[in-house]
Amino acid sequence: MSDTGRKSSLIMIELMSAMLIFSICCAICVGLYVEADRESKNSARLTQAVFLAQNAAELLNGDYEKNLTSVLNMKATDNVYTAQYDENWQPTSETGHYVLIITVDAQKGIADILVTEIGTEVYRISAGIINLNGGNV
Amino acid sequence: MVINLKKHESAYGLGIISIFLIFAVLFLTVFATLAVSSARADYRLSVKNADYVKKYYMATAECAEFVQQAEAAYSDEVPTAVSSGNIEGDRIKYDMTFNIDENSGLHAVFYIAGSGCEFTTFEITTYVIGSESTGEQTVNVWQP
Repeated sequence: MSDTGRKSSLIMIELMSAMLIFSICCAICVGLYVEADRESKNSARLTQAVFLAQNAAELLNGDYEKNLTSVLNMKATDNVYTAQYDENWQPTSETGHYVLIITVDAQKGIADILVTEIGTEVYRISAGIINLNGGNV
Repeated sequence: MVINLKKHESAYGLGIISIFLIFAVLFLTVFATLAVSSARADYRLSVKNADYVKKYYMATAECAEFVQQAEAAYSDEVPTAVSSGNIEGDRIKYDMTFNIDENSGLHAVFYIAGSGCEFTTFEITTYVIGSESTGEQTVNVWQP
């Protein structure tokens, strides 16, 4: 085999092994990026759910019935208030991807605030119904 | 006329592919690791915030339940205080702190009277533990 031919075959071997190693590394890195994307989406979902629940909890201060129905456009059924949100957390009149459910216990002065994603609990808090300008409930 | 038929050789020798590969893999790995660690840190912060918000509103729920009990115990004829209440004339003063976590509490001062409940203070008290002294910092949640 001539010197040039030997050199060419060595470059070919190097190129092929480089491609193999690069493919393996690419597969691992794609996995890492997918994991990062999943974590990021979970984080965004939790943050939005906390924001929504906190907003609702603050509206419990004062005339909560009026606040929840007028500000959050919640539908009231007895002591349960519900609001539907789409995938982008925008209010929707149809069946939503996310649902905010507030169950008011006026006797105890507390409310259970639940945010769900297609029936699965995302975030839940218990908040006091306190009217800082004149007692509670 | 003499034609130079000598074969032209590449300026780069054997191994340049490996150097490119090492750099490419290095960059990919570094950025992928940074993306994952950043996303995880972001998620941890979200969970921490969610936990604190949950504890804070749990404290407000305890406060609301206490106010209900205090209002139920109050009567115009014979004002009676629940646990730590102080009778001041025809009304009862309560100065309560409801624990949020080990470092902070919800401090509420309110009066129960025949007309209802009147809050004068509703604030978050943070216990600052320093190397020399232990003090308190407060954040007003609401001001009358």
